[in-house]
Order: sequence, then C-alpha cells, then structure tokens
Amino acid sequence: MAGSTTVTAKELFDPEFLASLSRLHILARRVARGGRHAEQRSSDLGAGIEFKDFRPYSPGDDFRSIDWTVYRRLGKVFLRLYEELEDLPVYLLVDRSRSLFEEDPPRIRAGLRAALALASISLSQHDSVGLFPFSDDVEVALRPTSGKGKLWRFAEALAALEPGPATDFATAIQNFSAMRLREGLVVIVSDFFDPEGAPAVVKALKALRHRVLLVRLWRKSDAAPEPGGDFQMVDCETGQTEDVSATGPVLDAYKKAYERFEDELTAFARSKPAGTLLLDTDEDVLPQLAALFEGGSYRP
Amino acid sequence: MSFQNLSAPAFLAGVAALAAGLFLLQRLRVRYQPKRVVTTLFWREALEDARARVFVRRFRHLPAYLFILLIASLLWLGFADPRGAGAQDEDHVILVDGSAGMAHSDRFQRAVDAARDKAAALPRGNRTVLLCGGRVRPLLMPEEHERVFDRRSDGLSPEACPSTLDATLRAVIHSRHPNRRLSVTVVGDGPVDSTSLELLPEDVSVSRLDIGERTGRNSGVVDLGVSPASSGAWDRVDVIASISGDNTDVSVTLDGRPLGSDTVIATRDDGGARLTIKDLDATGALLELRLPAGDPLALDDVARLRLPKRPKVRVQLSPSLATVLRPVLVADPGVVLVDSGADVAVRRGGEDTGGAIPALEWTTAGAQTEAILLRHEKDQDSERVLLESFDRLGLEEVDTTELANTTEQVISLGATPAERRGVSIWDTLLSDQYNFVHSRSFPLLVGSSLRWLAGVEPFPPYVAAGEPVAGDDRARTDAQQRTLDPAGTAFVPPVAGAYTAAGEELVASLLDPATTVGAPSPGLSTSAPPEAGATDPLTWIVLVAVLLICAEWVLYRSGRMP
Repeated sequence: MAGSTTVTAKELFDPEFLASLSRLHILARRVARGGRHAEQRSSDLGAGIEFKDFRPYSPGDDFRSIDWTVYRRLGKVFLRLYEELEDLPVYLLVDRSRSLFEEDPPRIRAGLRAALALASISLSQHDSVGLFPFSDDVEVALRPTSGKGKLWRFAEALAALEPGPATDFATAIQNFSAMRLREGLVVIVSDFFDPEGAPAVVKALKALRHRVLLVRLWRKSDAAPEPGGDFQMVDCETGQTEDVSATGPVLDAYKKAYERFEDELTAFARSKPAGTLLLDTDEDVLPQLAALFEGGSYRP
Repeated sequence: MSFQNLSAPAFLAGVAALAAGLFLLQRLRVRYQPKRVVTTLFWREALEDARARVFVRRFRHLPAYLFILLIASLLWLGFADPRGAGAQDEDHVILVDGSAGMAHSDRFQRAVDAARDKAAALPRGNRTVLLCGGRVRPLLMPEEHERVFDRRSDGLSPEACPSTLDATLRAVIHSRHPNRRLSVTVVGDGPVDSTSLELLPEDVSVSRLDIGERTGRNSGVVDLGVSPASSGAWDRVDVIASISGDNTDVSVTLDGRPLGSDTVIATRDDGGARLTIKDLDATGALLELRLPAGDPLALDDVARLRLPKRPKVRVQLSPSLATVLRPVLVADPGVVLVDSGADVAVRRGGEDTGGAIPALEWTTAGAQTEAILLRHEKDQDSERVLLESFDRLGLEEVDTTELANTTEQVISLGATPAERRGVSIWDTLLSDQYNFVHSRSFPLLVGSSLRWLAGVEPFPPYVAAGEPVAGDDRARTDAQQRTLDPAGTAFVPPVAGAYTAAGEELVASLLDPATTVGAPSPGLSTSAPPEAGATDPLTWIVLVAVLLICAEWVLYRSGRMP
C-alpha cells in the first residue's frame, strides 16, 4: 500500500524495543578530529582516561600531565598523553522512495525501526546523529545532533516520512557528499533498487568519504518470485512495464539477475570496506540488528 | 475400439485439430495481467537474458500445454463415446413387444425403459430397436442417438394385437448380415416359437430381457366366431364365443342393445366359459361381448363381430325351365322365387326373363365354345375369376369327365368380361340322358351360381387381429384411413378394429389366448437388464476430465501453472 508509512511515531518509540538496544554499542575504530567530547576514540590526544603515549615537555604544557616518575628515573620531563574521546557522527540516510511503501507489510516499517534503533544506540553514546531521507535527491530532516533526549524527535521525523519519487542514488549521494559533513558513519537504509541498476548504486557509494553501513531491506520473494503466469510487471516507482511470462527459463534468468545485484553490493562492501546488514522485512528487526552487534558492539 | 458418435479417423482428426488449435493459442499474443512490483529491474534483465539465448521464442508453458491438451482430448474422446473392441463384429437387435399382452399393468413402460438402457450400452453403429406391435416399426436405427428413441417411444402404448415377436424374430434372422454375428434381445412377454429357437443358426443368439413376471389373474375373450345357423335358416347365423379366466360375467349387445339371457347359452368350466348364441338375424349388426373392467389387462375384455348379411336371393325363373329347375330352387333356403324385381334371372339364352339383370342362362352348345362360361365385371381378372369359381360355384364337385364321356364333347370352362355377371351353361346338359340334373353337384352348381350372380359373398367364420381373414383378399382401410393391401393373399387385420372396403365393414377383435393367459415362452434364456451406467466408459472419461480440470484449477491458483 503506497502513500503512507503505516507506522506512527508512538509505534516507533516503543520503550521496550529501545530498552533492548541499551546493551548495543557502535564503536568506531577511530573518529575524525574535531568532534565533541564523547565516547568514541579519536586521533586527538587530550584529556581522556586511557594512556596513549609520552612526549617531551614544551613550554605551556599542562603541569598536571608531567610524568614525575619518568623525571625521577631519567631526569627529563615528559608529559603523559591520553587518548581523547570524541563523538562519532552518524548520518542516517533513509530511502523513502515509493518502492519501500509497497507491499504488505511495507519495507519502510522495518527500515524505520532499524534507523531509530541505530539512532537510539548512537545517541545513547553521546554520538551525534543526523537524518537524511533520500529518493531522487537527499534532504536534511534532522541535522546531526546528540543527546538521548533527541530520540523522540527522530521518531517523529521518521514517522513523518512520505513516499518520494524513484530512487536516484547517484544524485542523492553526490548531493550528500556536497554537504561536506565531518567524516563519520553513513548508514544507508534502503532496498537499493535503483532503476539504473546496481552499478550506479555502487559507483555512487564509492564516492562517499565516510565509513558506510548498508542496511539492505529485502524479503525472500525478491530472490525467488512466484512461478507461473503471464504478467505485465509495473514498476511502482517509474511506471515502467515489462511483459513477463514467468516460465522456467525466465525465472532462472531473474534469479541470476538478482544474484548479480547482490554480488555487486557484496563486492562493494568488501572493497570499501563497508558493513552490511541484511534486514528481512518480514521478520522481527531486533534479533537481526543484534546479529550485527555481535558481542554487544558494532565496529564500523 | 470404436466410437458411438464419430468414426476413428474423425476422432483422430479432432485430436490433431485440438492440438493445433491449442498450439496456436499458445503462440498467440498473451493477455498479460498487470502486477505492481517494487522494481522491474531484475525482470528487465531476465527478459534480456532469456531473449538473448534463443532466436525464436521457445514454446511457452509446455507442461501446461500438454495438460490442457490432455483435458481437451479426453472431452473429445467423451464426445466420440468410445466402445470396446470386438463389438463391431456383432449386430444387436432389440425387439420390444408392443402387443396387447404388454398392456398388463406397467409392463410396456418397463420394457421400453429396459430396451433403452440395453441399447445405450451397445455400439451405436450396430444396434437396432424395433417395436413389434400390429406392425413393426423402428424405435432406434443404427447410428441414431438415444434421444431419437425417446422421441419415437414417447406416447406409444401396446396395440390390441397378438404378439408379433416370433414373426419379427424370423424376419430379422432371415435378413441378417451374412458375415456378422447377430444377437437378438426380446423385451416383453410375447411367445417365441420353440422351433424357431431350435433351428437358430450358430451365429445367432436370442435371449429375453428380464422385466419381471406378470402378476394377477386375467380374464378375456379368446374366441368369437360365426357360422350359418344350425337351424338351417339361410338368413340367420349362430355365434360361438369362449372366455378364459375366472370372470365370465359377460354382457352381450347387438348394435348396442343387450341380448336377453335366454338367447345366450353359457357353459362354464374351470378355465372359463363357452357362449353360444343361436339364430341371430344375419343383417350385418355389430355384436359386442364385454367383460367387466377390473382385471390387469383391458384390451382382451372386449370383442366385436360384424354379423354377415345374408338376404335371400330373389330369382325370376323362365317358364321354359320350370320343369327342371323349379324343384331345385324351391328346395334352396336361400332363394325365393319372384315374378318381378328379381336379383337374378334364370332363363334360356335369348329369353328376356328378368330383363337386364345378372342371369343364369342355359344356351345351345353352338352359341358358346365353353360348356360353362362365366361373365364377370370388367375390372376383374378372368383367370382369377375362373380359379375362384371352382370353389365358389361348386364346379369342383361336377364330374366333368363323366359329362365329357356321355356327351362326347369337351366340357370346358371359360370366363370373359361383360357388362354384368352371368353364367351360361349348355342346355344340353339339362337333358335326362346325361344324368347331370340328377347328380348332387347340380343343385350346388345352381345355388352357388345364383349367389355369385346376386353378389352374396361368403362370410369369414371369425375375424381376429393378426390372423388372415378367410376368403378376403381385398385392400381395406383402417381407422386411420390407411389402406392395407394384402397384395393377393388373405387380408390380415394387424390390430383389433374396423376395416372397410367399398363401404363394407370388417371388425376384428383381439382373440389371442396367449395374450389373455400370458403363457411363458419355453426355451428362451433370460438375461438381466443392464445396470445403467455401471461400466459406461463415457462416465469414466468425463470423470477423469473433470478431475483434471479441478487439478488445473488448483495448480493455477497455487501459481504452479500459468
């Protein structure tokens, strides 16, 4: 059923669901410089609690950082350097093209829950999270912000998403990159069904300077449609039609085309590298999300 | 295997046409059902891949094509109505008894139903159903559909006639195909002569279809005949009748008026009763015997007889012959001598006694070549008149050899057409020297000649349906205005009823003891009627086709068949 998310902010903001996310963390290997103080390890050396290195004293350094034990042994003044903890910017790019609002249940339901879950996890770690819905272009629904108290705003913003035009990854990603946001984690929640095909999607994603997590919304019928029948397949986004007699050879060719699509996305994820979460939209989101956070954390 | 509705080539051609038609349908442009999908990306690629591999589009949905072809072929096979092998070598004739005996309760309808079921189970091209009533009529001929049987049998009822099963059976056997076996099935109660069964050819089998036994006791008139009155009165007759059964309380009417009980003499015994009615006026009245209703068979409860007309012949005798012929004519009870207004004149040749009326003339030997010359109506055949005259005129009683010896002349008989009837005899035969006038054949010749000249026809002693009427070979018209021409043989009234010829009515009755008593026919094996639809291949074929159609529907609904 197109035209509605079929999910409200209240439904999204399920306390039980959000509570179950409390043990999940996103741990960045290293965040870019220039962020706020948070829980992510950064390349900056500063006032953290985890020892990182020594360096010779230079005028103006904070006396509190001098390692007096080293001075007693070596007679030279060295400073103890600690790792600075900063925030990890998380950019949620949620696909709102019409294909996500088709079928029953629509894929957008699982996509919104996954997006909110990731936002919740990041906000709970004091990371900044931004919401960028996209279809044929990208827009800014919520600028990167932090604080657990912002989660309700995310729920409202997600629930307010309306079906957009056909997916155009190239334009959307290009315009997103043009925002020149601080390097962070780009989470793309989409079915990745771009009318231009998987190569166009991969090409667009390769241009991203950020680390990438692909949350691919799929269902079993994508890979193996029901056999039999003569159908005029109508693309819900573009309106394009294809007259199909679903014979065995045609179905085999369909499966091979779908496999190529998956292979290209997988190859991109390996080469980037990028994380991939295959989210079966007919199943419960939480267990699938937990699998991503194996051991309680996801390290992009 | 054979087919009821189609020939084998037509069936095969139909299957081929179905296969071709369905193939073309498969090749025709498909009407695609719109289906909204999240993306056509993979379908587009799949179609491009599929198209790239084949030059010509592959035959689509081969399993579905074979499936629908199987269903269509089964339906076509059902329409063809196949029959088992071996049935083509045998002809089947079903004889349905349509005689009066089948009017007993509902036996006729049971026989018709049984015959229909039997015919439906036989190869259409080899079965014939005949109704054996007063005349044999077809109910179903080879290649005709069973619906024709229904139409022809609708409204039929048994006819008031004896069974014609035996005669029809012999005719069917006689006209059978020389190289094929014949199976005759009799449906009904009519008897079949045991001699016919014993002499059956090896390739013919006869059986009777069991439709149950007759129940209930029946009474009926089984004999009704008339004879000249035993009292000797020429213009009176005696009637004799027999009634079979327990109920012999018969009412007798003459032209609708009941006859007194003193007139009817009844003699009863264990098997029925015998009636004698004496000295009834022979004036052509209609005598009817009627038993009270209530027994299972009504057709034999009534018998009718048209009494003969036997007026005395008025004869005007020439005085020149009075000496010789007057005693003879006076002694004849059927003759009355008159002086005028006679029916017949008796005179010498050349005399004018009686005028232009039929005459018995005694003429000189020189006037005619033949000793006895008959003159008959111009529409009659002289040869036939001559042949009949031996009996009707009593000529066979005349000792012509003795006459020829005594007269030393050839005594010959001749016939010639004339304006009116006449009999001319040489007057020399009246001479005392030849002893002819004293012979016992002389009064017979004179009396018979006078009756023939007066047009007095002999009357049959009885007229029964299905039996030849003695001395009657005229074409007659029945109640439906159909002309029944015996074509030279004795007239046989097919059913009880009235038959007319030149205004003269003949009334036939059902006088058949076998019908009334219902005696079983010995030597005829009984077969059970076929169980309707028990092994009819058509039923199984249609059933399988329906199951396949259901299976196709299930497969279609489950998406496993386009």
